[in-house]
Amino acid sequence: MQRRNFLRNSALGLAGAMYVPQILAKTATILGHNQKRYRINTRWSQADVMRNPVNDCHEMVQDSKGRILLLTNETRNNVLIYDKNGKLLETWGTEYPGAHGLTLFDENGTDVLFICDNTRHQVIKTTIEGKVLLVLDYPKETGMYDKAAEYVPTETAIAPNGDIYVADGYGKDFIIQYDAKGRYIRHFGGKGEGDAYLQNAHGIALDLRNPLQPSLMITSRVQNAFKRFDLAGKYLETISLPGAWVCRPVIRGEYLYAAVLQSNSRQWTQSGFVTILDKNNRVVSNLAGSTPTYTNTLPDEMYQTIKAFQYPHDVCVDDEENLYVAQWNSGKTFPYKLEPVV
Amino acid sequence: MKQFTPILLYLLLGASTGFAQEVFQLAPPLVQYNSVFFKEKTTVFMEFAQTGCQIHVTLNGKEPTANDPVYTRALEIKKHQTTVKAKVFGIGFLPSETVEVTFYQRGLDILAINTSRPDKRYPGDGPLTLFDGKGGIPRSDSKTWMGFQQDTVTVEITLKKPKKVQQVLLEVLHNAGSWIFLPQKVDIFCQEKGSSQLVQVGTATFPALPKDAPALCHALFIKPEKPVKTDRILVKVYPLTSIPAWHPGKGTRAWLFVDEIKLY
Repeated sequence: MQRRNFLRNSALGLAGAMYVPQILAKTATILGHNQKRYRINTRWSQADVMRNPVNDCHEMVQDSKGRILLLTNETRNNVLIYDKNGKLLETWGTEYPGAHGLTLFDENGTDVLFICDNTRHQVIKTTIEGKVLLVLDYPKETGMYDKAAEYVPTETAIAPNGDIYVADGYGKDFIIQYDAKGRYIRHFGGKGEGDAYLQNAHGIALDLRNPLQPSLMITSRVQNAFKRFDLAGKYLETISLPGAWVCRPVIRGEYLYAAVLQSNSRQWTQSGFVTILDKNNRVVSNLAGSTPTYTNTLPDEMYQTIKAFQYPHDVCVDDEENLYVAQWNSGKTFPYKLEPVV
Repeated sequence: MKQFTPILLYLLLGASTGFAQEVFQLAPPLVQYNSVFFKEKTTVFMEFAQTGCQIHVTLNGKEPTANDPVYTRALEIKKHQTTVKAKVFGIGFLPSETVEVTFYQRGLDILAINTSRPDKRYPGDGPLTLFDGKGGIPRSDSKTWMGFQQDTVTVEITLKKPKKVQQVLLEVLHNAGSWIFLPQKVDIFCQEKGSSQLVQVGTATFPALPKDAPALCHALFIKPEKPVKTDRILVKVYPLTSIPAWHPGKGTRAWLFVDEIKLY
């Protein structure tokens, strides 16, 4: 009975999720492990796809008013602003064809945004309403770049003092540090094999979980790892996550959340999931992924087990511990919401 | 009767929740082995770390059902051309797609293989790549693969001494997401004893796989019209020149990935 439905829905590109007769389908799927388990809602967004389409849904953040902001590279509306129930409140932005990274920073009580644009080869700081405050061009000051095209920034992290760290994750994998005004301070990382180098530095986040040692958690996605550096760019440690193409680290409370674009064992076949690490950076839950187990101090290879996601690209954790998952190259699907199961 | 319990459970839960939810499909199991080519025997490991799910396996080429044996320990493969099929089943989910791997004995002893120059990003693992016995790993970043993006790929095979050749096996990758497709045509030529001429002895064409074809390795067999005795074979491979219309790369040239060539 499901064969026909399967074919029809695949043709529509519906996220690998298939509808079956309602009478069979009313049990909610629970994803995850241990104390981090969630109920998934793939129909959270109430946006009208005709009026407010999305392309790749790259990243999401929650602002100080509790609203959920989505960044997409659809230039009809680069930023979609939702309430937590999925009602679309407003949109803005038509000039970010390569909209990729979205970071929110509380600047003396005012929300500001940092957008990384892959196509413009720029980082743009805006108000929450989209007014441009600062544009950072390619970092010639580093001496490592001859032209803008070599620089493809994917993410920013902002230190408490306002310093801006940019990850050139699709360019040369350098992390470039600026002061709050956009003046170059230093660069570190860069493409390479050794500990202090990065391969696809796709994400970066401030890690303030240990107040005595604030640090930067940086993605090395092709290496299936995060790498921790201090705020002056000194390499500290590698957190290996075998099998998991992790996107940016998202730190909330004691936990680190990350969308896993795909399983290393099944590349480019929509094999993504979401991983959650505890305060010791041990994997405690994989949403739609394998049960986390360890051999000595290293996680066993992780992989997708349930086709709930295609290519998850970011996780946003709201003030009620709900998750929102944005996806890249996944049939222009809107984000999903996941509510904790207590 | 046991089969009906989950449905009853759905009905009970359904009455209390009030909104429809999707039923998701399970992902395929993790299947691991060193190579699909073996001398005497090889071992296959599987895992699927999801509570309530089991891997069902067949070795007879048939599609696994929930009644087929459950994978509990490593499989030992000894027979040439054994096809292992594995599929995950679990209550509350649609079964996974089937993972399919066929294992082959190593065939005739090859002395050397010379190929067209592969793309510099996918050079394989040195001059032995196509006859080192390592192959059938469906990850496109595995060093076992040589990647090509050109009109024609030629592969010249030299045997230790003249042998009767009945089949040529070309192991290739299909992964539409990485723009890697089967070749559209393969021609084989050979130099028979006492002649300096290469003569075409066989050809085969391969239709593009459908849109939903999973990312898997495929062994393409090309048979000479009649068995030949030779120590030198030339294989001309024609990569797909025009990617099908359903793909984002439609009309452009596809990649060809080859990891092993065997003669039987």
